[in-house]
Parts: sequence; C-alpha cells; structure tokens
Amino acid sequence: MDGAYSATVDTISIARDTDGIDLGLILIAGTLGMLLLAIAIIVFVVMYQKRLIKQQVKMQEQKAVHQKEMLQATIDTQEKERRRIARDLHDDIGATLSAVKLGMNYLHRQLDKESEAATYSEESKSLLDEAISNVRRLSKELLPATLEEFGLPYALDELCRKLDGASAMEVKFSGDQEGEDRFDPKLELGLYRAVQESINNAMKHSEAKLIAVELQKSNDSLTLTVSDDGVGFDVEEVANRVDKGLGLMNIESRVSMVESTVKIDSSPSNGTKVFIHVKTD
Amino acid sequence: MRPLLVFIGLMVCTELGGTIVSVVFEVKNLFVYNIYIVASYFIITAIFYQQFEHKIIRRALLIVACIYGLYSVLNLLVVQGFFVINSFSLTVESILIISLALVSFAYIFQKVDVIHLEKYAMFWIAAAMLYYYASNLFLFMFSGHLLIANPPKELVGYFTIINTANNFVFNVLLFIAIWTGRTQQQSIQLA
Repeated sequence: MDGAYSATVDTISIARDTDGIDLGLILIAGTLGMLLLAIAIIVFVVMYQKRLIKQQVKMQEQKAVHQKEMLQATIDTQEKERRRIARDLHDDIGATLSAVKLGMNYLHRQLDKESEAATYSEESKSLLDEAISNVRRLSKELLPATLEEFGLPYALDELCRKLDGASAMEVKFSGDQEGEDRFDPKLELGLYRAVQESINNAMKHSEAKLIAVELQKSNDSLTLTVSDDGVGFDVEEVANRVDKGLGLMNIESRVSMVESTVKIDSSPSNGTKVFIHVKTD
Repeated sequence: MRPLLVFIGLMVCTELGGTIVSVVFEVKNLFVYNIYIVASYFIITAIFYQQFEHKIIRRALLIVACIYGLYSVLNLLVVQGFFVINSFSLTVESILIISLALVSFAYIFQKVDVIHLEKYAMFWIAAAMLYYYASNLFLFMFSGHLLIANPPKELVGYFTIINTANNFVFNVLLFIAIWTGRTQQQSIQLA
C-alpha cells in the first residue's frame, strides 16, 4: 500500500519535472474524464430503461382505454339492437298476434261449441296466448321497461319475481325500493345486466335451491349481492382457465364499463356470492 | 453490419500496412495512419448513416462528411503533409465522431423502440466510438508532452498503457457490437 502511494507521488513529481506543466493533474483529469464517460453511458442505460418502462406503461394504458372504448361500443350496439328487436317484437309481432287473437275469438264464438273445429280453435287460442305471452316476456327481457321507468330496485324485483315463477329455483329479491333515487341510466342498465348474468350463471351451473339478490344503498355507494346455495366452484381455477367462461367475462365487462368492482366469493360445495360494488357520488 | 466489418478490416490493414512499411521498407509509416484518419471517418459516418432514418440528419451527415473530406485532404496535401501525424484532422475527426455518437444516443433515447438495449448493436457502436474518440482526444493532449527530445520513460509507459487499455476496451465494445448485430440479424430472419 505504502509502495503504491510512493510510486504515485514519484510519478507526479516526474511529470512536474518534465516541463513545468502539471502532467499528474492532466492524468488525473483524463482518468476522471474516462470514468465520467463510463458513468454517463451507464446513466444513459438507466434513463433509457426508465423511459422505456414509462412508455410501455403509457402504451398499456392507451391499449386499455382503447379496449374499454371498444367494449363500450359493442355493449352500446348490443343494447341498441336489443331495443330494436324488443320494439319490433312488441309493436309488430305482438300487435299482429293480438289482432289474430281477436279474429280467433270471433271465429270461436261463431263455431258450434261441441264441434271438432271448436276444439281445434280452442287449442289454437291457447297456443296463441302462449305465443303472445312469450313475445311479451322476450320483449321485456330484451328491454326492461321497468328499469327505464322506475329504476333498478323495481326492475330487479320484477326480474326475480318472474324467474321465481318460471323455474324450480327460488329467486328472492331484498333491498330498499323506497325513495326516488335514480342513477345514471347506463349505470343502472350495466348493473341490471350484471345481475341478470349472475342469476343466469347460477341457474345454469349452481344446482342451487335458492338464489338471493340483495341491494344495499348507502350515501355514496351501492352494493349488489347475488348469492346461491349451490355447488360453488374454485374461483382461482376458473379465473386462470384460458376459456374463463363467457358468463364470468360478461359480468366483469359489464361491471368494468360502469366503473364498478366485482368480487366473486365461492368454493366447491359452499355456494357462490357475487358482490358488485359501485360508488355513486 | 457491413460498414462495421469494413471499418475493422481497415483497422487491421492499417496496422499491418504500418508495420510492413516501417519494418520491411524502413520508411516512415505515418502516411498510412494519415490515410486511415480520413478513411475511418467516412466509414464511421456510413455506420451511423444507416441508423438515422431522418432525411435531415442523413443530409447533414453527408454534408459534414464532404466538408471534412475536403478539409482533411487539403491538410494532408498542403498543410501538415504525409509524413507528420495529421493532428488537425485527427482532432476534428474525434470531435465529429464524439458528436455523432452523442446524436446516436439521443436518437435511441428519443425513439424508445429498442426493448433490450444490451442486444442493440448501434448502442455498443456508439458507446465504443464515444469512449475511444473521447479518450483519443485526451491522449492527444497528453502526447504533446511526449514530443520533446527525450521524454521520460515513465511518461511513455503511462501513455502506452492508457493507449493499449483504450484500444482493448474499444475492440471489446466493437466485438460486442458485431455479436449483438449478428444475433439481431438472426432474430430478424427468424421473424
């Protein structure tokens, strides 16, 4: 260590002795310059990496925004198409079927009640009634008029009642229906569709006896819970699957469109709970 | 990659030519290095020319190369001559190449289209050029003190060590550039 130190001192003194110019200083400055260059290149690499990450994050954000816009456009188009079909069903086919029913009633009255034709006419009338009610049901499913006119709690209550009567499962709604609170139509429709999809999923896969829909309102938020007492499933396993399941994806996309969060709580043989939470202020 | 290989070829030829001229023909070999100074600038410009896509930058490179070519040929023929090291041309060349390397870095930084910088040949080339020509400038300043009648042995020793180290680092960086350029080309072909 001492030897090295004295060698350095000798060098500097030799350099000084050469022509009076401080060569040692030049040497040190040059070495420092080289070091600075190397450091500058390292700093460049670090800064570049940071910039690259920043740009990638920005690109991902742009991609997410773009995807969201695309999804929103798809959902909007879907809703528009549903409305059109619902109106066509209600105003066109529904009206035609009602007119046919009137005619059938008239014809039925003209027929001898004991005749074979009267029996066929009676059967046709009941088929016609079924067709009319199916058209109404389809039209309502496609365009929930109650949702537009009275709001989310009423629409959900109506949906549950309808499904309760139509299937072997018990479908119950509980929640605050009082008050004039109305939210953004898009939010209401998004939440309604998410609940509709959750109930559909439960009906298709859960083998449950009871499906309960609960709506809780607070000053600044809204929580919807769809729970069933069915077979349940491994959420992680399903979420990691490539074919995640159209139902779950639909719920997630619907919910993400209205700035809400969804949480699915389930495990095999323990039923399923879907929590949808949205800030309303 | 071709201009880089030509540049390495030029370096090898210059070293061989300089040695042959000096040892075999026993003639002052400085003219070989003077020609190298001019030629190397054009090849290095060609290397960077390929990187830049902007027309303005490319045009500027060509204009600067023409001006430098005229200047260094005049210097070689009229001012400093063949048998004295063309220090003016060397200094200007070093400054121009340092600038080119810095512009190259700025260009990479602006475009941000390289995901793995360490696998990008132009980054290594720019680093090699910046390091070598900046250290050359410093050595050149330092070597002025060696041109006295009897330079102290220690000083010559330091000069040689630094010069050799710089050359070593330069060649390592160029080797990495060739290596990364080769793998880059392979991945382009695969894509």
